[in-house]
Amino acid sequence: MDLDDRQLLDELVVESQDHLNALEPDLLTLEKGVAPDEALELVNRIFRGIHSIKGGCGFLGITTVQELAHAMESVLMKVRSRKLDVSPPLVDVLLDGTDRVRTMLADITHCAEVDARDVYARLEPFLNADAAPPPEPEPVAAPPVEARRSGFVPLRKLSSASDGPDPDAAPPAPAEVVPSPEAAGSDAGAPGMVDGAGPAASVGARAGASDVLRVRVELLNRLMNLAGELVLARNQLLQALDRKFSETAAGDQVLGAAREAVEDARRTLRASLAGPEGASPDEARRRAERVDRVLDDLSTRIAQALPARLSDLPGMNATMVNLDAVTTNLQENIMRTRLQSLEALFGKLPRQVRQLARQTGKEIELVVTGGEVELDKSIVESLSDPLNHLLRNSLDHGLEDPAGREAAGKDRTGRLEVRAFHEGGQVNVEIRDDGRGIDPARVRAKAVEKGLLTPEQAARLDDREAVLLIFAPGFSTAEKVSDISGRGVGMDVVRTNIESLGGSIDIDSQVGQGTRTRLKLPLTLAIIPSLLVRACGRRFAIPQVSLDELVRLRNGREDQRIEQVQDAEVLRLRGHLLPLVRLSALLGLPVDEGSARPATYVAVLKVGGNRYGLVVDEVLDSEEIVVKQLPPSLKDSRCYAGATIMGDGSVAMILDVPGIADLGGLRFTDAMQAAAADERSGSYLDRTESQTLLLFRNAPDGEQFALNLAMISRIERVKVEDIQVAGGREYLKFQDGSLRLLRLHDHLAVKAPDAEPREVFVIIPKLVKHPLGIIAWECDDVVSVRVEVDRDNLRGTGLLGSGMIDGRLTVFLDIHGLFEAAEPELYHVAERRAATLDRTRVLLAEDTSFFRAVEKSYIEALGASVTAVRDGREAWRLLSEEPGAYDLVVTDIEMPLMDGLELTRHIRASERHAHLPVVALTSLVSETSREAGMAAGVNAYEVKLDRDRLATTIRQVMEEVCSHA
Amino acid sequence: MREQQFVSFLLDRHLLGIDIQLVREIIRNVDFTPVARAPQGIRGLLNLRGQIITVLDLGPSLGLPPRELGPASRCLILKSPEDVIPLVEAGLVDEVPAGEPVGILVDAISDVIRPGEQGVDLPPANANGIDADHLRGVVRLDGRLLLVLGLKRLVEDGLGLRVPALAD
Repeated sequence: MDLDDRQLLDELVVESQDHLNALEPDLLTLEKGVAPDEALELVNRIFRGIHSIKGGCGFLGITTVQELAHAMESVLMKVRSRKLDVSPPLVDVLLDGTDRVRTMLADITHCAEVDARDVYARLEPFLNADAAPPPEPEPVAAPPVEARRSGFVPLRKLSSASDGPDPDAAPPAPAEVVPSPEAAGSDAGAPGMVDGAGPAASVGARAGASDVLRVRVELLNRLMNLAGELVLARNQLLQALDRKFSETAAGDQVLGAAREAVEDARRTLRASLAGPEGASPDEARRRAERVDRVLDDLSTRIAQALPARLSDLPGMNATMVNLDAVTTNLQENIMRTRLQSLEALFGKLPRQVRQLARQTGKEIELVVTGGEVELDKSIVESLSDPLNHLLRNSLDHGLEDPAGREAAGKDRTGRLEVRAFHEGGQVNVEIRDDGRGIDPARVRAKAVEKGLLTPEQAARLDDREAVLLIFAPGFSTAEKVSDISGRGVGMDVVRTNIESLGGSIDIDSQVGQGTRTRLKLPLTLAIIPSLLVRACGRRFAIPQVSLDELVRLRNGREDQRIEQVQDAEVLRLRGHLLPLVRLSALLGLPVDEGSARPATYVAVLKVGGNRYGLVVDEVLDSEEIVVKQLPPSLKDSRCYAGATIMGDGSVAMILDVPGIADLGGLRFTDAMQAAAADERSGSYLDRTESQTLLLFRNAPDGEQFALNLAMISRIERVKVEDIQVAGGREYLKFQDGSLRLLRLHDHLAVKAPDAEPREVFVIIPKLVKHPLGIIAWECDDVVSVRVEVDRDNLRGTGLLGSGMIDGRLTVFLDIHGLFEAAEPELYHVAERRAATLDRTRVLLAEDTSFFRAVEKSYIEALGASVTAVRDGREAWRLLSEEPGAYDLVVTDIEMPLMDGLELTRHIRASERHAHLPVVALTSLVSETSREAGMAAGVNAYEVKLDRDRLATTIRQVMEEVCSHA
Repeated sequence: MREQQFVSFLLDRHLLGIDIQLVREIIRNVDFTPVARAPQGIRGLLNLRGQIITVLDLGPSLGLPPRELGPASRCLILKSPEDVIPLVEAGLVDEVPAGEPVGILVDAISDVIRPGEQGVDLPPANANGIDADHLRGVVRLDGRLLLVLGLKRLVEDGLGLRVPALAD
């Protein structure tokens, strides 16, 4: 197929699809039942659409479509010739036919593979119906008996309009039947077609068709590029003129200065010529005249050498202003050519709703407004799925069946409204139903059942917050998975889709009254609002849609808010910890010396439910930028989402906000996400056990450290002079022996005290083989708190992680790691490393963040890989999903949702996991709990925080398993 | 070999040439935006009348030091595949360099060279330190050697589209 044909074909497909879009609502209206004259008009229009498709496809030899269209056309002709009445089965088969045509058009080169035999089979009885006239008063809504009395268009006329004999055509009706007066109006359609005076609006909408031209998107994109180019050229011209203006101004100064110099020279020369020892007055005058001549000449030449003034170019300014305005206008208008009305999407809604209403046995009145609102083509296209999902939700969950509505004192027919409108530079799309609304109580129950929240947490949410839970991943309110909704693609997917378009979604629901969902969308994706920033002298654009806020940090004071421990940086922002990425470091750019700048900026960016801070040197401006695709070779970079051309013609990169989080090594783990979500709903921490912590510092202005009190044997206040030094190490006389002391800053990258106080604290841990004393500058407090330990922001030997206690960043120490680093000989690190449990995959279930971090580090130190989860239910889910993925389960006993004993019973009861070893951990070991554990089937029972015993136990258990195997 | 013309240019004192049919234009504006974390051969992006051009330095692929920009620096904008394919079909060129708009950074532009009667010789295994794999031939000029580059592989290399270990 040559290019021209291809192009023709493309056009045919688009045109045919338009016809289908136009005739579908007409079919639906027809089915509902309308006045006879309107019915005629509708049938005419439907007929014309089908007829055009048939003609076009016939012309290009696409017989598959042509034949199906022909069959449908023939049936329609029978309707027009009153051989057939409109009935739901008829509309049904016609709709199915249009569907099939649509499928064929979707892949026109393979349309012959689309099977339409069933449609033909169902059309067949209608085609043959003229033999036996249809039973008289059809018991259906459509078309009322009066329709028969109004004049349908005679068949003969129709036949002449179609481009061929219609073998199935009914015998000709009387040739001269005059159309009804109402239908005899305009004749804008195909020749021979009578365009009825249908609703004025719909006629009006179609009347403009001849003003519309189809243009290829590619061409528009090129025009858009050219317009962009023009804008740049304009900018450059303006800049050049600007320079010229200032040059002229400078030239005036130079000229003035030069003239002054010349006059100066003249005076000096004259004075010298007029000197007493000079020649005769005549001679002097001649010389003076010559000097004048030379100098005047010089003056003129200087003036000529300078550029002509701009003001000498008449009308220049006005022309520039005009050029500026026209260019801007041109660019905006070309941009608008990419916009598409929502009609393309809204036009399909009546059909979908009709089908859904049938399936669910509901009666629904659909009101669609605002189809004329325009959006970027790509947004309109991507809106289809989310909109569909929302409609299905309304139909399936929102609107009640007729009986239910009557019982609730409502009209039998439910009302579903889809509305689009402009607001504040954005487009809003609203889906509103008057159904039963979203019941917060049911949502709460569901969230608890799904394990998203505890009953207490759920109870604490207000109704509005509860309704918003439907956006939580994995949530679906459908009690039964039905054909229509609740198939696992939940509202979270809808939200993600809308957000990826740069939009937002909001939901508002009143029990018993209905639900309103509102989507806010940008007009275009080609132009996005962005924030321009600078790092290392380079400009970058950050999409505004990802930007939460900007934080300005005065230089020299950064450290007050940026906490830097080891290599992880976090910003303390209103009591929360925000992981930071430095843009210049991430891009490997030479770090600009910050001292010259008064401040550093942190752009707080959103990635899904998470946030992080991007550190940049400067914030320049907010600007609307035209997004250009990245060249393919840069698509893998992960740090750029695109490029844009700035006003000065240079290219600036658009940053990829999620990609940078990824590259920066920020792992927003599930736990962090959950914690973030819980933070919003106010309370995950309440569920976890609280722990008693000793808070202390190594230096007066240094980090705050925390140790679990359960690991501390005692705290001694020690005079510095009592500390003895031997072999470069410090010891304290303690009980009957001496205790080696260590200072944190010798082993960890933490702040050291500037001076030595007279007294220090020595913290002596327990549950370790060889205790060492930790020297602390100050022991601040013992607190009982619930705290999340974040292992990602801060990691390293001797550290468990970080957390916030009373708004302060607190570093959790790993005593074992710390002591090993300090005393490798005592702890036989080398020896232990040799005997590792690598390849052992451990599933760890522990609800308390702190213990989870500790236990994970203990088990990982043995060489095993650890997957840590928050409760037994989660552990069981992982086991069920990936049988054989774990060699050992280590579980806490007391956990929400599913405790360790129940988990163990599940494991033992399942065929696949019956032999999976389980080690249970608890903070208290009593005989009864041990017995309960053994009864449930655990292999071993250990106390928490005792690493050596845990290690021994795990080794024993694994050895036993291996020897059995 | 048919009558060819080569755009010749300097790259670290090597006189190199590429088929003139592959060159769309030569621009003085080398004011590109550097792009960090890009494949080794990519120096940055350039705006050429609204089109984004990937600026390549062939230096690293040829084993030469990276280009330093100077007043004589130029950028050779290559034709797009759509423009080159008809030429290939017409038998005028025999390679299609890249799928994206590419500009090649050079130290200076020299003459357009018509090999004329002496024609294009097969490249030696190693011409002035440049691997013969990258060469399509040499043209002997008065006292100088014009090395005619094979662009496809060099450009793919520079764009990071070619995994070195798999390069044949």
